[in-house]
Amino acid sequence: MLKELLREDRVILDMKAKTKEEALKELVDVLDLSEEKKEILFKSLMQREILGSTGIGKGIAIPHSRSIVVDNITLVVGVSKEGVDFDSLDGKPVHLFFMLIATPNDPSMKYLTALGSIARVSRAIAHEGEIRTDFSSPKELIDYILEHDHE
Amino acid sequence: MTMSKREYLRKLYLLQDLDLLIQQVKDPEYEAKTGLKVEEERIADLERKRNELAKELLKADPVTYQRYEMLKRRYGRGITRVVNHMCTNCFAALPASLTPRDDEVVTCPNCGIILIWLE
Repeated sequence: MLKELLREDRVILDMKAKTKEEALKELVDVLDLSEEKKEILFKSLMQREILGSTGIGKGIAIPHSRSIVVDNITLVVGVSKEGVDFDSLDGKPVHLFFMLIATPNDPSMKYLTALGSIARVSRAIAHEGEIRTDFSSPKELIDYILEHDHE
Repeated sequence: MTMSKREYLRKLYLLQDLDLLIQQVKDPEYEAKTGLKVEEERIADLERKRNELAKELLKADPVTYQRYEMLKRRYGRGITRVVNHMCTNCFAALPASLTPRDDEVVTCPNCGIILIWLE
């Protein structure tokens, strides 16, 4: 499932963001969308964060939303070497972001399944202890994620 | 009606975003699959925000608002984007004469969903 969603052109290896708002904007900016659509998507992601942070702890966050602006389920992965204050459950800065966006109608439950896969991979990465942030290429980061994707 | 159709449609898809979010976090599968738990109180706050927006939209244009609610029950959503002159709900090609209008809410002639053109 994750393999289908991971794309080298939707990866940020060295995020500059310092805050939650900046991180979400930086992740959204990767997508080939108009400024209007980016703004809509950013607001939708922030609305979800108001309900409680998607920073699941151990340095990982999974911001997500269903939005009118995308045509297909979309995943962006970002790495922050310095870490971002994301109001995570354990208070720790976030180094690895998985931003998942789905279309408003999702009859195949692809969105929830993808979210579940990301949560499972995140737990496997977190279980190892320190999260790697020293990736030299998008492919290396994607391979690292897929190494932890055990169905 | 005091707000323009464009402004109205922008608020309508914000309402749809809120409806989708509420539906998502109330789905028991959501917590089971993600491990993310949303407090009841926060969901209630979000529902209040949703209902305030719905009230505003109902007052401004009752026909469109009721249409949105009816379509939501039928399709799970009431408003969709036009992409390449195609409805993204039923994927029907739209007649060339169908274009965004400032004076009227435009719906898909095939499935009836409310249409929005985003830049």
